Amino acid sequence: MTIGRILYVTAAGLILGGIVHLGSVLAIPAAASPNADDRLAAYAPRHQLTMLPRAEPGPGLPHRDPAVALGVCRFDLAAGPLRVRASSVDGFLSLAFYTPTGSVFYALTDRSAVRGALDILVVTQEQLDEIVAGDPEDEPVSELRLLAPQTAGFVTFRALAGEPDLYPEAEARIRAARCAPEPLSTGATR
Amino acid sequence: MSAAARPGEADFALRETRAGSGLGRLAGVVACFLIAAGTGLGATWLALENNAGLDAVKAGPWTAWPRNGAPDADPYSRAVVARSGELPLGLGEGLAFTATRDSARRPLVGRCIYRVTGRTPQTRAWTLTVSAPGGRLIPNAARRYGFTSEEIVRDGSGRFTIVLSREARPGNWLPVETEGRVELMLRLYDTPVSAVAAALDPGLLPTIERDGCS
Repeated sequence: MTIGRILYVTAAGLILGGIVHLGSVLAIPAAASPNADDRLAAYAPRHQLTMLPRAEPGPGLPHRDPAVALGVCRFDLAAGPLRVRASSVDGFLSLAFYTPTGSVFYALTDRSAVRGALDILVVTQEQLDEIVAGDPEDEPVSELRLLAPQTAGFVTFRALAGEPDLYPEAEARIRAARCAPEPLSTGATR
Repeated sequence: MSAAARPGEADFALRETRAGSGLGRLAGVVACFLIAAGTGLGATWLALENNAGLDAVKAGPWTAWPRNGAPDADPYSRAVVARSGELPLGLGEGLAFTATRDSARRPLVGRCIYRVTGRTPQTRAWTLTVSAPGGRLIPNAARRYGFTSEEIVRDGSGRFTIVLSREARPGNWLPVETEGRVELMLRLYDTPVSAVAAALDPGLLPTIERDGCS
């Protein structure tokens, strides 16, 4: 092999390597197995608000905040729109809505509460169209309607415990929340 | 005669070259693919190991990825999150800063004592947590892994100092019972900083000073 040919092969290899690099980075979120939703399936059944165990050394989700109680509700909108309700009593409470691969498509805190409550309906485009068609014309919509980019996903509930002793109270704030599918008909006649 | 023989010879010579270059070409293609796989996958691994998200916001020793977890996050951030399995904070919830080095750019290690001093940007609440690289909590006898803004003891001007060390210290003591590398995470909950994180003044975040090593 001549020097020229070695240089040529190396250059071609590096260019191809760049393509391999970009391709692999782009492919990882979709190819990662298990994805975030699969991992949570080990703790939380679908359509049930489940408290995750308190963050401790050892296995479990990485990068947990030990001062924050974490509840999870996995959903599949094929079962109908998802109704999420939480009340804002004192203390930080936040909700984040994730796709199955762990991207947040919406997040809010109890500061966004209307008259002390968060009332959110997670819907697909078809469900939204149906609900909007059934909306009474003279009444303003009081709930937040959230369009999900995919039919499956999960919601997290985070409550901050200012001191370690207050952790059970933070868990109680999450347990008071509701997360369940709601048949379309009731959604439309509200 | 010779005129007839010459093309034959040439033909033979040509076939030789073709066979030779065939082998050479195969070796070249294999080498090319090996280089491609090695550099391409190697670069991916390095990028993910070093959390090379493209929209990192740096302020002093702290780095945040405000778009981490967002659907429109850059591909590197998304790959890092997918690989670690963590649930990143949504931008509407708060902002998380990590530090793996002190303010003098030296790696944070468990056998050194550190003083985390200063204040935080405007936020409703914050927490500071110490963990092993990768976000696993490190066991300690006191079962204390961090502080929150509510329990921290501040001086008269509102500044705080948290001491990370193996031995107990007066004040805000965060026990670190490991010899190896550690990372700090500062989470701001319900903060207006999220929106303007790109232009964050390092003076708003606490410094991390090394205070001797064992």
